[in-house]
Amino acid sequence: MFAFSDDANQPRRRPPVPSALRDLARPVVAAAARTLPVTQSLSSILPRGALRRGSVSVVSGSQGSGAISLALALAAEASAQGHWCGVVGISDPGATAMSEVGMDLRRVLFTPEPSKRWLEVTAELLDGVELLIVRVQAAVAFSAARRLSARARERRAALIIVTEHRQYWPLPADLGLSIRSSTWMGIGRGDGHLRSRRLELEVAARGEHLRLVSVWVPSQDGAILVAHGHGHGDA
Amino acid sequence: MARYSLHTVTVTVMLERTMVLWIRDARSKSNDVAALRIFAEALSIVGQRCPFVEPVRLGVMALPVRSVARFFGGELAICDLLRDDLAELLEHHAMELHIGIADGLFAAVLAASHEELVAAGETPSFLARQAIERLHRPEIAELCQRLGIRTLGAFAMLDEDRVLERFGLDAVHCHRVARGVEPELVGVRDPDIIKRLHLLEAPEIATTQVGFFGGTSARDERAQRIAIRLQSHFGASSVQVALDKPGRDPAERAIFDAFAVEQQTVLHDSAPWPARLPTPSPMTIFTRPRDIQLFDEFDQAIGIDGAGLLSATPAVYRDGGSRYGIAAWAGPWPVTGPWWRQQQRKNRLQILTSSGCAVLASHDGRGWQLVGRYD
Repeated sequence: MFAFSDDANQPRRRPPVPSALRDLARPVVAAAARTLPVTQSLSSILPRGALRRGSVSVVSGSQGSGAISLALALAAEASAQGHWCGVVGISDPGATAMSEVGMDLRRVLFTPEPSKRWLEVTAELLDGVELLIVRVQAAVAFSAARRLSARARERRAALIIVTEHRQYWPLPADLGLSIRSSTWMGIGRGDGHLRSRRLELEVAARGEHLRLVSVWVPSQDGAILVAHGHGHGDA
Repeated sequence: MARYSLHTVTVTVMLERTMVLWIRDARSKSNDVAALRIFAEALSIVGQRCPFVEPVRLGVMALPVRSVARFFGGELAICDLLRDDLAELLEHHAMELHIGIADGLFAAVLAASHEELVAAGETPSFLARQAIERLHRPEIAELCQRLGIRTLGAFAMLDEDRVLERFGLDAVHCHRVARGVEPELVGVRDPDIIKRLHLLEAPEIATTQVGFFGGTSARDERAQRIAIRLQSHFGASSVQVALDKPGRDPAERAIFDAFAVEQQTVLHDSAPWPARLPTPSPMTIFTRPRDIQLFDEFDQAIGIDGAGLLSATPAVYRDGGSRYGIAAWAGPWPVTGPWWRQQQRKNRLQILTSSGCAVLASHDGRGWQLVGRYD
């Protein structure tokens, strides 16, 4: 959220902060250097409103529930702003759908079927891209997960794990998005067409309470939209 | 050649028989443009006989030797020929030529430094005799020497899982190289050599797979470097980019292609989709569509009738052994190809299963296929 507070499109309502105070309050490292931008509508569900570099996020949801779309939606803004992304283990990607989500495909490296050596491929890719989406289809070994997290932290890349079960990633994640349910709208019995999809998400950010959030991926007009959050606390 | 067992299957890996030519003096003046120029000249001379020669790093070039050896009458014969070809150039610049042949690039580079032609199949025993320092990994070498491991052979004897535990990922790669399972060691190739040769504008270097890095940011260069490195380890198709190949059905077209630097700008914002479906598009497009069957509530198969409509109300579809209830559907929409392919008229149908998963099916006149999924 704060990463966007300088956005020129936003009407400024508050009076300007005195320059002396602003210098005092300025962080030592610019926020933009520590984070990767996220679509504005999704930023409201992320801790500090952006994807932190060096962090690990786990997006989990059963096949066809929209986990891949959600992970790409997280990556879309960074991709559109010129950051390189890697996509590992998604064997039949739909390029059209990816560009609809907002990915700039000129700067996406795909490693569709790295098979048994996905760990080495992933570790190497983390050297070259700033955001890496990895789909894992089986439980990741503890040592492998630890090594990848360390690598992501060291290379200051954001790692997004897409998986069917949250347990497949054996470590606590900086951000966990679990899809509880997914509902398509717009399609009837022989009429209409798939138009928008509402995802009920469980957001588990490190150091925050579990939250339930509804997200439209995609919404009516194709964009990603956060419908509403249930606030903090119980489900 | 090496054998290793993978559960119950024994996999035999054939490493390519590789010749390495090492031009001695060029290496020591590694930043000298003159050395680069001589190397480029040597490359083009070798390239006249062996078109597949490629630069490895300054002073070192490699070529797959099997076919040229057959053509010129044996490995010794091709060595002599290349020596004669290069003699004048190298004498003029007071440089030495070392030639080695072995299986895989790593072993061949070592063979060149020993001026040895390692016989076919002898590569593992040749590697086993080499000192552990030849891996150019000081940390591994130091640790191994403390453990009493002094040769690549002794290192190769270690269990791969233990190597991973004790030394980490890179060491596993070194271990595979030492065993002769993998052809080349990371770091043997100079990733910039082709670029530097290009900058020299050397004539007739037909071996470049990598284009010129033009007008890109540091970020782009870093990503491209990693992509090239991955391709050298895992094969060209291991890193792909989305490419626009217009005019073909997107569900079928090979839109992903091996990464190459020169193909920079790729997909237009709106990829062409003939008789385009309403957005969103399927996130997964199956490269090998699976045959499915559609049934109505009485388990009668459903097709497309003459008017382009479903022949009955769909209730269930069968994909292999599984059956999925159909909660909602949209279509069928005819997708008409160009006039010369009217025969291939297709109908597409969006299906929402009762579990909430949405898929895209296609009917080609004979039967239904699952072509995409809205992941």
